[in-house]
Amino acid sequence: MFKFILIRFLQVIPVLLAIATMTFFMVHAAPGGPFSQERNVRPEILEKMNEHYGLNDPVYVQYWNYLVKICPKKFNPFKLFVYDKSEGRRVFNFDLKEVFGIDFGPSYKYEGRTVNELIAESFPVSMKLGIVALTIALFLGVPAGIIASIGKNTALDYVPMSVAMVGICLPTFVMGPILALTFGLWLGWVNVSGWFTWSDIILPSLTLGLYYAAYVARLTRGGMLEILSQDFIRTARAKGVPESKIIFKHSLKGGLLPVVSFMGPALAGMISGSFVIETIFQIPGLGRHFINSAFNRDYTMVLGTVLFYATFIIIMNLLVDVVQVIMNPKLKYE
Amino acid sequence: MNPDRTNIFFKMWPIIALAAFSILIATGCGKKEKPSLKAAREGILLFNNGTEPKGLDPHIVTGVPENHIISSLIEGLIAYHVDDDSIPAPGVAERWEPTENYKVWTFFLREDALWSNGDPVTSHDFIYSYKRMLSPNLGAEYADMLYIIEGGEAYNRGENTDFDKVGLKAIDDKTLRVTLVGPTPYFLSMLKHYSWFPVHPPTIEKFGKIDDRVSQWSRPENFVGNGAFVLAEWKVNQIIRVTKSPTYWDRDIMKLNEIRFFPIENPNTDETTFLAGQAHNTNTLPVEKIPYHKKNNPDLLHIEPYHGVYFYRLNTTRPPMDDVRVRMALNLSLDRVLIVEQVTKGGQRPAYGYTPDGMSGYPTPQPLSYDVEKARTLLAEAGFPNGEGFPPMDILINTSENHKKIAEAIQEMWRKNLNIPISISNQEWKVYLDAQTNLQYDLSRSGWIADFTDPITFLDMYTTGNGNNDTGWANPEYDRLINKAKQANSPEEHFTALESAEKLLLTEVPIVPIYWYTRVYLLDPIVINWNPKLLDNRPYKYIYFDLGE
Repeated sequence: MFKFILIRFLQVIPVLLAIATMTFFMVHAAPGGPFSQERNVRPEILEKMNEHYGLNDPVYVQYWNYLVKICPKKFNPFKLFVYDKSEGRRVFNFDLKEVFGIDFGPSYKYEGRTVNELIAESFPVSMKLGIVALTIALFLGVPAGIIASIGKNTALDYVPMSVAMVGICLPTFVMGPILALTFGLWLGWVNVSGWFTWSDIILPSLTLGLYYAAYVARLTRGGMLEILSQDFIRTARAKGVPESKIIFKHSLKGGLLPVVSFMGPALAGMISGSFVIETIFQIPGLGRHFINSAFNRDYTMVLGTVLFYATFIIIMNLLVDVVQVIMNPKLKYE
Repeated sequence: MNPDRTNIFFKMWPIIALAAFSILIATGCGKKEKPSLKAAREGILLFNNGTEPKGLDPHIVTGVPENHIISSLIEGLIAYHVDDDSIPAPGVAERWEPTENYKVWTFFLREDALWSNGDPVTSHDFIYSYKRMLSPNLGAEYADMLYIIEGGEAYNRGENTDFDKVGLKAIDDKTLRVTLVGPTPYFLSMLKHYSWFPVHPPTIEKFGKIDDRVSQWSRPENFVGNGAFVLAEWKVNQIIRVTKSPTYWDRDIMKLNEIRFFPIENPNTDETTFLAGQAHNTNTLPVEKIPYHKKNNPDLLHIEPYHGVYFYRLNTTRPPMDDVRVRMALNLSLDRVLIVEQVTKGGQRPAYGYTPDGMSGYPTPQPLSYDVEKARTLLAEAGFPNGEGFPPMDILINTSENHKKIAEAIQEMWRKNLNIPISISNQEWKVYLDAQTNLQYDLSRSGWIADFTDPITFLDMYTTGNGNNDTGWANPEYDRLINKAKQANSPEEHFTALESAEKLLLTEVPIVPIYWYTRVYLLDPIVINWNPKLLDNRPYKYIYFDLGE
């Protein structure tokens, strides 16, 4: 298994390099620059700003400088937790520069802030949202899928699956406002937007979670049905094994395989693709930086978020592969 | 477990989950008093500011949302008047004296003006701040606002490196003399703009050099300002919190203890956040919601004139737009009333001139009209009778549903009235800006918001070679008139020259003015002294809450 992880890890390097290169040249090729705005800046002032950020250098020089800056130079995981005087304890501090020596550079839009800092502030928020949403998706989706597979072609199947179909078809930008209006505005139970109290996570994670729960339910149902129709299940039933044991002991492990392979991309998608949710519920997450930086031509921010997400997705997929081998004896680390 | 019991659990499962969830949120967060009311009782204004500011350094930023925050933290020589933007209110300057021709101004700074760390605000601080603003290496986008100071432009361009040659002099710690390039009767209205705000020199020096663009000085833990509030907290995309300054000279009249700025961008979230009582205002209001609130919440809905103009630029370097008759025909065949009443619906006023009306002392020329017959005649004279032979023209807009609706209405009017083929193409914001600057368009949607309350902020941009002209239009007579206005010795002379210039602009029409902006938003009626302002600034120190107690 160690060899498998090592090989996969080495494959990551050319992938990230290719992503960095493509993104770098695409974002620099896009018309308009980080400093173009409706009220035109005088050419001599623009010149000064470009000079300040090294944008006057030839593109290949900028590219090389950038690669040098983002190349990991150290590994110091202890720096992830720093002592906070005001809190009086060690707190999680996601500083890529301190831990890995990666420097994504200054943000062009938020002057005086670095991309590292903006990622460090917003990623934990997106992560928290993603994990809670994923938990909701699994807690709703898996049981619903199991129920549907047991009561195949009965109301127990049709009702959850119809709801799931609606869930898949109903985009988050419709679901989000509906939940906000119902629980926030009319019932007044939670805030309609913002990220201030613990209850602020409920509506956004529910919006995101319900959407993925629908997928999880359908995948679980499909996986379970396949297993339940197999010979060893029939044998078990013939031997009088209780139905609950058949479901939980003999089928679930195999039936959940499609869900597991879906989890990696799902969690990555929840965290990177939460732009809509973050906008609707006014959440200071990374998804907004990801999208807005492209509109702002905030070159360093675009590159920083793209590379960060890419790494994250790769790690997630690797984890899924490992888990799948553990769960499925037919697969081997190769 | 017995299979039957398993089945019951499966059947009951959704109900159990739903019940558990309801109990969880109902216990955790029962229906409570509106946060806006609770905040009002504590003297806290919950302000939706529309977007995350680019920064809080007055010499670096360029936008209205930034101004909303910075104007609470820093005060210039002149402050906002409580309800009239054309009146200069004393800020750090207690009084001022212009020379007879408005060229040299002396400002007398109040003795009790202090920075938030207790240091007195001196005339040297202002000179330091203006030096910073004009430093070539800082690359301040608004540095040209200070070009009216004698020698300011040369210093900013690096042609002169001796700042002593710039027309600024500290007579003593509390007296500042500013010598301008020419007579400038409207100087005081410019001083309200944040590019003229002071910064605290020791704080700037502590975190870098005078001309360091990137600095940590504007972080909450470092910020030193001289305004009514001090910066307490700043979380990107979440909140900026400012609290009442203990050192502000006019603190005794202030009733607000705190302002919380929220960067809510999505207009629907903006509206629900307000309606749920989490904010005292909305930043804007979606067009389709205006009729609903007009009918149901007239006490919340505010529609106010805003100092801006929505117009189309015409690329005068491309035929047939190089023919003034064609340009005028486009102007005359536009039913502006229909656009504001049926399309934009936000109380906008049809623009028959360019500079928005309502600027005190300036009679806005409004020579344009809706005259289809005359438009057709002009088009025929230009060689396109009944639109025949008119080449296909394209309206460039930046991607937005509202711009598209307006463009479609205009497209239809020109097709119907002049029988000319017009298409619409939309581009992403930065691509559109690039195309407009490089004159790669036929007609381009544009907007312009005043930086200060003088018509020159709208008219200066059409001088030859100005970076904001973007139409290719040039007229030596126009340049002469604008220059004359800049050199005028009295407000009357200044306005007369500008009026002549604007009349010339509207005869040559390198633009199609469409409407004058309004600000449409919802406001909690308990907020008092949030007055309609032409430049959308808020006089925080006068704002208080009427709780009816």
